[in-house]
Amino acid sequence: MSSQTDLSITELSDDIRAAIAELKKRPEIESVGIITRVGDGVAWIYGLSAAGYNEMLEIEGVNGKKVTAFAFNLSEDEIGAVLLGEDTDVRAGATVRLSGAVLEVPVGPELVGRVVDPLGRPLDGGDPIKAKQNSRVERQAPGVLDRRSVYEPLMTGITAIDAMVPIGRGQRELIIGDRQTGKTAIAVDTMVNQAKQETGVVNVYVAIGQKLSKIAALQERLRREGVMDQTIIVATSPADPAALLYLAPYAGCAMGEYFRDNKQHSLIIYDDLTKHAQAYRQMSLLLRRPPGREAYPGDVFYLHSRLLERASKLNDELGGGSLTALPIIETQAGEVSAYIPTNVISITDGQIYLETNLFYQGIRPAISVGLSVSRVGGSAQTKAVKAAGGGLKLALAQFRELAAFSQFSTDLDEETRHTIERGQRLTELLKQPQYSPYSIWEMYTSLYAATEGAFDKVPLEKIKPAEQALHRELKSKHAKLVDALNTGDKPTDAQNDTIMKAAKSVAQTYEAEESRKAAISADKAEDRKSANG
Amino acid sequence: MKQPRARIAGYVAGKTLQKGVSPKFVKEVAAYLLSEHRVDELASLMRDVQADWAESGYVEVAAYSAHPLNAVAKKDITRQVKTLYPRARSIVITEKRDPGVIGGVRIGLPDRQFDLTVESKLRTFKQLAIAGKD
Repeated sequence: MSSQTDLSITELSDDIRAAIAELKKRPEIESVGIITRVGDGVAWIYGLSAAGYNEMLEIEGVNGKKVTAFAFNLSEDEIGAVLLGEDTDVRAGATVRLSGAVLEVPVGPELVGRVVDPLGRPLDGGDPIKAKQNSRVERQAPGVLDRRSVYEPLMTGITAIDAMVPIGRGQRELIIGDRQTGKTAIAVDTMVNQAKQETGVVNVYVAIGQKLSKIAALQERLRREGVMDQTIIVATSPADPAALLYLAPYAGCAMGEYFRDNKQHSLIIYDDLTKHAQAYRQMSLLLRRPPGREAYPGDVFYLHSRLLERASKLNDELGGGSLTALPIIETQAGEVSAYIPTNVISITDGQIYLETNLFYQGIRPAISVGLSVSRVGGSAQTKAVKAAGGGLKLALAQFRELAAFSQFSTDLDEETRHTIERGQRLTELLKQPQYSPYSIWEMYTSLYAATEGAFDKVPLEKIKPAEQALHRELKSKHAKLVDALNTGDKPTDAQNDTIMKAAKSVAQTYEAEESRKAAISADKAEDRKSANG
Repeated sequence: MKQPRARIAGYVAGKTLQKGVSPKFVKEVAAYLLSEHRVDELASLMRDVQADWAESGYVEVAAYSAHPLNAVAKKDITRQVKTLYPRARSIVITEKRDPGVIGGVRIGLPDRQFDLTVESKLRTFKQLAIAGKD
């Protein structure tokens, strides 16, 4: 023992430092916390003051079960942790240990073709996933210098989208609309197109709180379409804890980022972020964070902005990979000015707005031309589609305006009637059944023929058959032209002439058929008249 | 709950002033810092302890000079420290060699510093001269 006069801060400091070094050699020292209360998927922990935000915690559950949680609320006297397992397996008084790591998920090609939960555990009954690499669920988005602007197209195979609201690789394009308007159908068609056109883009479909039956049906459909071989499904059901729903998009994003960072291209679909925000709201309220507008916590914007910012096109030095995001938002009664829709609209690089009215009028995909926009995709559009679809948006907007106006008038001038008829034909042409994405040549030839007036005399109900006949004709007789158009380069005048000739010849068949039918019905009417007379 | 560093420092200072530094006590402090993941705070904690000691009358000062201090210099340092800590009962001067201090002495206290070096005096002189010129 030293007396007061012997006190030296340097000596004391050195002594303590030496004692720390000695104690560090002993393995039995570890920091533990105690669960003080648990419920609704949230556990409150005393101790573990050294826990980091989002750090994984291991709880000694009932019957020796290990339950994983992650630290979410780091307050002065306790930690609020969100359980990734069942809260019935955790009791007050249970011991909690720090893992020293933040949440990670397996990533890599081993996950392709599989259905997994947000922790990377298989849900498809297949073999355990032996990924060589893990990645953090929460990662910083690439910085400004790591990126380059979007310039390559990500074709959806849907003419209305690729011609009017084109999507580029690395873009974030929101799909927004009421329930049952075909939001998921657009996303799924885009995935199907990646397989059909052999683009090599890896799809990541994140189902947030979706019915398991729906996910199973989707998986089966994708398998039949041959898309599952380049798809990862991250699935969560409404029965899963809110924490898993919250984690799902971040986990899916980490899986997609692997391909982006390895010079590949990936597409991620968040279906849907409305449910994601709701899961986060549930967690936040249970963690007693102050509620704000619509009871969402104050950082709900950051929740989505940090997720969507991770979608990017990397520069050539980093391999030039990309991660394109198609988030989905469900609106209530077409209300796009609600809290979450406006947030996500402002974060993304454009939106595809689907309308219930159009859907029930049979216009599918029910894309609202006026409200849909792509802010960066124009520079990524293929030259061919750009050339054909240039005036399409304007023509359709004019048609809608005139069509609404013409309902009040019977006498229309020739020009108005022509615009309306052309608009009707274009609208008909943009209808497209599900799971049948178009190639570039199919889109171009249809749009070119229609906008150049080749189908102006074809009856409205025959537009789609005429379009299909044109495609058949070109595919069988002009295979070289088809291949040339598929490169996406701007078509030459000679190529356009060939298309117009074929289109006019096909159109004449339907026009003639129509005239014959009209003549027959006129004869029948005449016969009836004379019989009555 | 995380204890404020000042509170831990107060405890360490009180204990050491009362009973001196025993190996057992050193080990206890080390174990506490380790278990609370606060080893990084050791340097700051020691500064707090030194400040607490000084407030209680035990002032430990570090004197940085290029050459050994003579009795007059030490007396001068004690007098200077006394002006800062009038209640100081015991002033311990720990001499530290610093070739960077060409002339004079720099006195290090827990949270302040007395710069009695020639360099500092010249700097002050220069500043005053510039101020007078303006």
